Amino acid sequence: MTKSLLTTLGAVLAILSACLPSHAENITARTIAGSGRAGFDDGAARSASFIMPMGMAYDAAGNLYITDGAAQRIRVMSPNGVIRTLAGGGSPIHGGLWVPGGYADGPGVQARFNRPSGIAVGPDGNIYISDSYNNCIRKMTPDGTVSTFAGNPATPGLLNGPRLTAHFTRPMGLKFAKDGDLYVADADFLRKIDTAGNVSYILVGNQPTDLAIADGTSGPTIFVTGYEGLIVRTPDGKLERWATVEARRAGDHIIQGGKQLGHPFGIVAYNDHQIAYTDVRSDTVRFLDTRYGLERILAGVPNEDASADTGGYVDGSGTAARFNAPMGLALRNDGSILLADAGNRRIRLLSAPDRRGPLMLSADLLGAHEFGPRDYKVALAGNSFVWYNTDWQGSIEGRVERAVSADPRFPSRSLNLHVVPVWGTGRLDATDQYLKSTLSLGLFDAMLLNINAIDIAGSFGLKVSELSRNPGAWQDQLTAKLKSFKADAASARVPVAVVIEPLPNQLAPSEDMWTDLTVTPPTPHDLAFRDLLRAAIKRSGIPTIDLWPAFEADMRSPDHRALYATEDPHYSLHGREIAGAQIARALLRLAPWKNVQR
Amino acid sequence: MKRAYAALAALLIFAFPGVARTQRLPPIVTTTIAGTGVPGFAGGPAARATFLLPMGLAYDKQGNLYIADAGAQRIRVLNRRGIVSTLAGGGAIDPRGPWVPGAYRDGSGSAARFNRPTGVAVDANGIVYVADSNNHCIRRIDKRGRVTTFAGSPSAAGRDDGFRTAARFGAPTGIAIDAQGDLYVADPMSAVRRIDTQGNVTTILVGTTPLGVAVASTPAGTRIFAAGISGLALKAPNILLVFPSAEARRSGDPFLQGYKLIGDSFNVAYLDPSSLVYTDPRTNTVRYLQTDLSESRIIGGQTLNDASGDTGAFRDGPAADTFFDAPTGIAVDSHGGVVVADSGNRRIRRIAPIERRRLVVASTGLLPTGDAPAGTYNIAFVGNSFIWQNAEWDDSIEAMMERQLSASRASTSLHSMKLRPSILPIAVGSMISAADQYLQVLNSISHTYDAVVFDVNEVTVSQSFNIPEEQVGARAAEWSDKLADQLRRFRDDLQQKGIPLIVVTHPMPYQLSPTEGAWMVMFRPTMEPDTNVGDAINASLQKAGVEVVNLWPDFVTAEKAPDHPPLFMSEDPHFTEHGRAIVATGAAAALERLHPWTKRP
Repeated sequence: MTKSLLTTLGAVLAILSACLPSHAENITARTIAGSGRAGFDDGAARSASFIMPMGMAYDAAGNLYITDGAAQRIRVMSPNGVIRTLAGGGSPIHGGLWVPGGYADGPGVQARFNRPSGIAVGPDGNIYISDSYNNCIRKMTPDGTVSTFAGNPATPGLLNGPRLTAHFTRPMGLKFAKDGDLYVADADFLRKIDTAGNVSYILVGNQPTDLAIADGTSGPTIFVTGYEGLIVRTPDGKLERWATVEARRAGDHIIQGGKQLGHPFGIVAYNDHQIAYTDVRSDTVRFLDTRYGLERILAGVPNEDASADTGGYVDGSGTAARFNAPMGLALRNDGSILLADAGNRRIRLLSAPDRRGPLMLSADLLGAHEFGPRDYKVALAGNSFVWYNTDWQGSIEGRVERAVSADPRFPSRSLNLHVVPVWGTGRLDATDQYLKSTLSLGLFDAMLLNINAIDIAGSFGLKVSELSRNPGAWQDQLTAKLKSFKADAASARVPVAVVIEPLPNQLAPSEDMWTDLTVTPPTPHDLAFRDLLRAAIKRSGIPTIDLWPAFEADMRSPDHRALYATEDPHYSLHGREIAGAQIARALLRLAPWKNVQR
Repeated sequence: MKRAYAALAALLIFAFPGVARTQRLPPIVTTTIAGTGVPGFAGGPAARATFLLPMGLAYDKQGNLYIADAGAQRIRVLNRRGIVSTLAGGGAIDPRGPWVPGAYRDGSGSAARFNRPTGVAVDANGIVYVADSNNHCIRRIDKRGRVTTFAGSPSAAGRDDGFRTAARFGAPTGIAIDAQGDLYVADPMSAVRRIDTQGNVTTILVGTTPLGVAVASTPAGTRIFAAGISGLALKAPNILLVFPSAEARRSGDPFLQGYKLIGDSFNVAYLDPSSLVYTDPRTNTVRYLQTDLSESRIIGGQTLNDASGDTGAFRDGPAADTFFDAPTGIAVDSHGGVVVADSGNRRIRRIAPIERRRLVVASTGLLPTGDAPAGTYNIAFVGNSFIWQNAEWDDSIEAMMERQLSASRASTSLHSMKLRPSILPIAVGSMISAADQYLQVLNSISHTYDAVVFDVNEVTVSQSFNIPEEQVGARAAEWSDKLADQLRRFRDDLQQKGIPLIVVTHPMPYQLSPTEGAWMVMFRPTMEPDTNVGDAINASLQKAGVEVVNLWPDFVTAEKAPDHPPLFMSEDPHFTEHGRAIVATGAAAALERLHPWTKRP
């Protein structure tokens, strides 16, 4: 493996699935603490009560500290599930629905808080609490003695400086970085209290509500939730903005499929690109992979109009579960997520989301994938599944993998099939380079190349409209490239095939209608190009998997469903269903694994 | 009196045509009126006819439906007897694809050729105009089927204004005609253009990248609605309203109620001066928009949150069950049914007339004048902005109250008096002076309401009495008496007319619990729990001696229930359905207890 080859590979933007799940994700929500009654009764977790649990943090011994922003108390749940009040007090008013806030330092029940929200366990073993309406950060020893750590309840403000002379305004979430610095989501600023006790600004804006820190080799990545969405501060200080629909500006990151980001409130980070957050506005818990812009709702159901009229209390599977004003989160070692369900006055537990997904192939990551001798890896190159508005289950690759693995003609006793999505750059040269590199590295056992993902016109410096008029400028050269790829594949003993599929505007103008209407003048329905492309593939001698007949038949049926998304040329769910079934059939017919001895 | 009217007109007031709505409305049903779904251009009875890509729709005066089929390159007609025929255009189907190649030729009937005709309009004399988009021109079809080129040129695309064929169009997509015979053309490559009856082409609305256009002649002047890539625009004398699509939204642009977005619009049809229907081929839906209330809802098809449009399919039935696939053209038939060119399904669909008499913005001309139908007992619900509760009429407090009052069979019930309840939602804004003004005007004109229910919490104390929001509780002494005086005067004024007043009071979300209105509360530092305000309002009501429906205990009980659903939205202080039910039940029960209808003069 030469370094230059790895660099070449690294330069090719490709997506490799390591070990993708072949079963549907099943997130469940269950209640682990809180009776639902408003109160602050201690005792066994399910009979104890809360008024508004907001923030949570584990200590090293597995005790869970919980702020109750309406009971004005700090509670703790021991690993054996017993809840007691560590600090705070005051009598409830208004039918027991809240306790008026106060301010007092001192031991346990003598201490007073006013909307304690964020909570974090420090490297010193003490517990740090954002006391929002007291505009300060409190410190609590494990035995419940409370002091004021930073800020001054009498003076809200933005002043930086030594911690006790600095001012805060309604601090909420707070987290420690590995180096001991304490980050605080405060009014319109992210603040930092360094280990020497100096307070400074880290970033401005977003009215932060919470943050999460992922420590990586090059430093901490900080995720800040707030009114306008999510801001990610990378270790080199760059800011990436994932905005809510109201706050979106040009240049902001957009979730795949043009989806809208929820309204992130509480947040936890698994690493520097995978986070889970509560959406207090739509009563949901969501998962976002910033590397791919893939977001999904783990549990709860949003309203299309964000009216959040979906709040409720139901334990169960993700789509059946209901929450009411979910706020703080805490991550558990097994990847499951604890959730302060403030409106339901309960602590809920969400099972761990499936975080395996496509991996960006780079020189760094390439060697990190360990495949065993049983793994049979089929590349599907030139298929940008991540942009299909789908998850792995709904993707073409996932469907092919499932269908072939389940078929008796596939030797599933001796082989594990992996259908690996590989996203090419669209240019023939780059794709060719990539395919040949993977062959020489022995990455794949068989390769399927989706020819429609290659921008033929761009690769040969032509306009799209010239393709059918001027085949001499590209057709023979394409055949030659494919032939040489075939020869390389044959010497590497890797069976290959080419997939050809219709593009929506070749199939019918009603497919991909919105693009058709908005790209003016409308693209021609150029079938001559298709025929030239077919001939070029045929002359190369590579087997063709032709998806046209199945798509045409479906499109002509009276009750056909849309085969493509309306806003871009990617398949709809129905289109993926057909493509997946056709490719699986072809793969079973070609049986590239038949001579494999393992 | 005149001044009172002027003051009234300045308020945002809603009134109803007094029609009792005691039953839940039947669902809006979609049916297929033409097309088998098989690709083709066969004529004959509508159920057996076929289409390739129907895109433009227009009715003539007689009720014949003209259909521009952009895939068949033909203008088809569905006549009143349900027979489909081809008026103009021709060409054979391309064996490789289900479409006819486009061309350009003037001539008679089947000798003429079109290239992607997407829009159609018919004038009062039956002359048909076609937006022939890929030919960059407007074609004219006379009553004998002769096709000529009316404006623009097939040989040159452009955006120049000028006289008919000297003018240029890019891809004229939508076309509409007004009562005077002026044509309006939506050309995404230029603008909305007008071709007046003299044949002069002018540019009248730039921006929005228009795809569709509708025009209405109203007493207040011509209203033009343009659908397009950047959103929906309404242009009228002195008005230019733009409802942007999600991609085109800029900070400060209006939201629809409940923070909805309009979706994306291809074409639009007019229902009345403030309401329209439009197609969204991106999410495969048909939608309704009431421009003056910024209220939008989906009346056909289903959308995904992510606008991927992965819902394209075919299914007739009640609105929520239906599917469309790339709906484009849209027209309203003489019964108020919404007819849609369902392009991807190669069918013409019809959505039954939608109920849209829920609210009108009142001007002095529209104020209820006492001509409510006999047999109704009219109750004004003042201070309830139901339209901002994200509710349909059926789920509103008013409708719930009507249902509850209608259901009662007690000897003192409306039923026993042979009366039907009609509850009229009146939004008066947040100032007590506005409520005052409204009630005064109401009193000065002829009998309109039989009873008034006043939701006092709609009045914002801080604004009404000029006290900073965070000090309202602490400074209760400064406003509590004033509020009591005001309420007492309301009661006395109404009493002179024999109209009973019932005042409803309830907690605001942040007064109930910080988890109600959670999204709003977390970003609004002044909204801390403060029962003082509620207590002071209740004290004012006591002092005033008015009839009070105090819903605080009901709300507190509901909030304390271990498994309570939210009572308020998370993003604004309006009720959820659960909260609305508490108000409706409480207010209706109070009315039943007082049964003021038994004392009606």
